[in-house]
Amino acid sequence: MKRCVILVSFLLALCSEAWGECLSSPKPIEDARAVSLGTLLLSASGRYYVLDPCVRISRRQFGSRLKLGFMNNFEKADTEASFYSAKSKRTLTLDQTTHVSLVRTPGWFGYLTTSDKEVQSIPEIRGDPFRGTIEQWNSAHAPDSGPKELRNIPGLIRPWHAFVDQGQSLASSVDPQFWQIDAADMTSKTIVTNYIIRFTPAPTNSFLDFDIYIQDGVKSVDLTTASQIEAFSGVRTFIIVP
Amino acid sequence: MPAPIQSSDTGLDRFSKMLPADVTAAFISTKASLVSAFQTPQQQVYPVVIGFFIILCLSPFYFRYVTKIANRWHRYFLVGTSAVFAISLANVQLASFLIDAIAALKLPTEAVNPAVLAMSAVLPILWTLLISQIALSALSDKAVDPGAQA
Repeated sequence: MKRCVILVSFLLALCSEAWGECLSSPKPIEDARAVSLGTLLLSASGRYYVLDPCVRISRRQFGSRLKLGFMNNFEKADTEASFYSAKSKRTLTLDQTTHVSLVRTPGWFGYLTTSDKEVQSIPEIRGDPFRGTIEQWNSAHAPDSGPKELRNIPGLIRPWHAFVDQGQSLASSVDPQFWQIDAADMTSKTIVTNYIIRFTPAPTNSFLDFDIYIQDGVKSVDLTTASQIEAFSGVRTFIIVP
Repeated sequence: MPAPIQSSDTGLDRFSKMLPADVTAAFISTKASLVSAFQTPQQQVYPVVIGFFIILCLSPFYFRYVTKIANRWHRYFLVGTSAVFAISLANVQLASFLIDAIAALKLPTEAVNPAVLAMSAVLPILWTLLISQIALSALSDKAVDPGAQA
């Protein structure tokens, strides 16, 4: 019995040292509905996994498309829609032609084309490349810029920023600082993908997800999430292993 | 239900005495209690794993002094079976625990999830259908408790 106690104490001591290391893997959970609000989850093969701030993700185990997101397990339903933003910086082994791409989930309202004047329901975007420069992108994201001003950024295929509702109560451009891309961090082998994910807070336990592609050549992913809902904000690093 | 194997037991009787239903029930009720006591899945990991580990450590004494199994081979096998069922019942918590423990040793943890998942799926079937039968045949006479009344 004494040996058992010593062994358990030893294992606990080891485990307490594990936090903060980048050797962790996604940890499976039984019931994703019970996670605390704002816990970033990875969904794969019908299971959910919680992620430490830095994890190693095996492409063999999780495939080349990571389905990440938050559980919509708010205590009370809200009538007002909200959103969270995510920014993934993928570092690859080869030079890339596109360095910024854009993703928007369904349900947003905004401008369908650059010449539109009326806000309307707009379709989802699954990865439009931004063909402008980082400087053009950053300078467009000035403090007072809304979806209307941001629909004409040179290099944009179609308007991307949008409102969560027809009444234009909340725009994805509300925090222009978040959308700034640090040019010093960018290399020819880097791709930044910007996501806007709309949802209505409710205890529905639906998965508010977005996809990150970790195709062959992706070495690491730096993910930043931000939202008006503080619990959804955070920074993660994924080391991709074969 | 584990109990001393007697020479007059039928094959089915002997097989049923190789399966620790009471310890398995203890695992299930412990897990249910701890899962309801600790709200989030992350908080449940250590209590469940430690709880199972304690039950596993106590099981040899339970088999020896409560169920009065004097034959040590029978007891070893029951402890092994309890461990297999524990892995299967707490595979999710065990995987998280092992990821933390192995990462603390500065070793890569990518193999933990698939290994624990495969073990929890395959081991109980293998153990119950094959290893129990093999052990029963191999230990047939050894496992008979000489002190047990027919």
